[in-house]
Amino acid sequence: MRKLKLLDFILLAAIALISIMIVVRKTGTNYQEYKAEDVKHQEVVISYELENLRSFSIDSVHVGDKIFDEVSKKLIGTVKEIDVKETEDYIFDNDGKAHKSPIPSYYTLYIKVDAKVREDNEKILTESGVELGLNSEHKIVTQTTFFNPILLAIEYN
Amino acid sequence: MIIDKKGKLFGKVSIIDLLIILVIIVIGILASKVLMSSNDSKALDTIYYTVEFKEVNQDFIDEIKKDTPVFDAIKYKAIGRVDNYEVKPFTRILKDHEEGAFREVEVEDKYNVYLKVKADAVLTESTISVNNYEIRIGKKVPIKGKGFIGETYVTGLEIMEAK
Repeated sequence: MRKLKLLDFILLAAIALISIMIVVRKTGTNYQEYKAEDVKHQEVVISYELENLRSFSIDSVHVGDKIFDEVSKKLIGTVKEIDVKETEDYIFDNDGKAHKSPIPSYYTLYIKVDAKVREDNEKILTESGVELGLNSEHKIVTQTTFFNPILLAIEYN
Repeated sequence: MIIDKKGKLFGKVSIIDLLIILVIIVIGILASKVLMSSNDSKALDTIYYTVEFKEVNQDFIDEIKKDTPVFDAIKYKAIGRVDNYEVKPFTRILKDHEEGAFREVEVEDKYNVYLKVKADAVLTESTISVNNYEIRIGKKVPIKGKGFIGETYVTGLEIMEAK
């Protein structure tokens, strides 16, 4: 067998590098798409709370709307239920007594979202790979609307 | 030896020729992807979206003209044309300590302007984009038109039929 020359090494290194890049691209840590049959998912209901919304935001979300992660645009789930309450805050009267009073034109929106999640190490991930964390602010969107709610609860069915 | 002294691969193909062929193939693949993606892009839909300018005065309102272009005030992207506008009184929420309640009161000589903008948009399942600028209800949009500028929120969105 003849000795390999420098140019041969460069060529082999290039081939190896391209092969590694292809493998990493397909199986690397950023590749988070799982096939349904590979991982067991559980059906859950995710509850979000949005305070101090105005009526135009309330009117823009409907049951059946798809909810996506704002950054990755990955699907989180589908709106199952919507509940609207007046936003309230405390105010002192002239006697120094605190009253809970509604703030005119401002509302609190509660959205329940049907989703499927799986547990991956210490993370709770949706089917599409969006990480969920209770009590965290989580920017979400529908096709037409942007929200920045608090994730209140994940109820397992 | 894979490459010989003359720079030929397995003594037959010139490495330079091979590299040129590879470059041509890569350019061909990239070009076909670009052409395919432009063929796949959806027809533009007409949308109307409304943005809210808060607490402006009459001089600001006088500058707004129908059928003039509006731009994203930061990146200066064209994001539609003024279709119409509506003026409402600007209100502020005040604390009424006597009653122990919040009250919404109108502020004199200050207005909220609701600017309705007509634009051609690309719709996907999760986005509505005008000139690659995402339009969503509740999103903050810095808007500039001829003679006026301001930080606004999108308060309404209406999707019409595709062209």
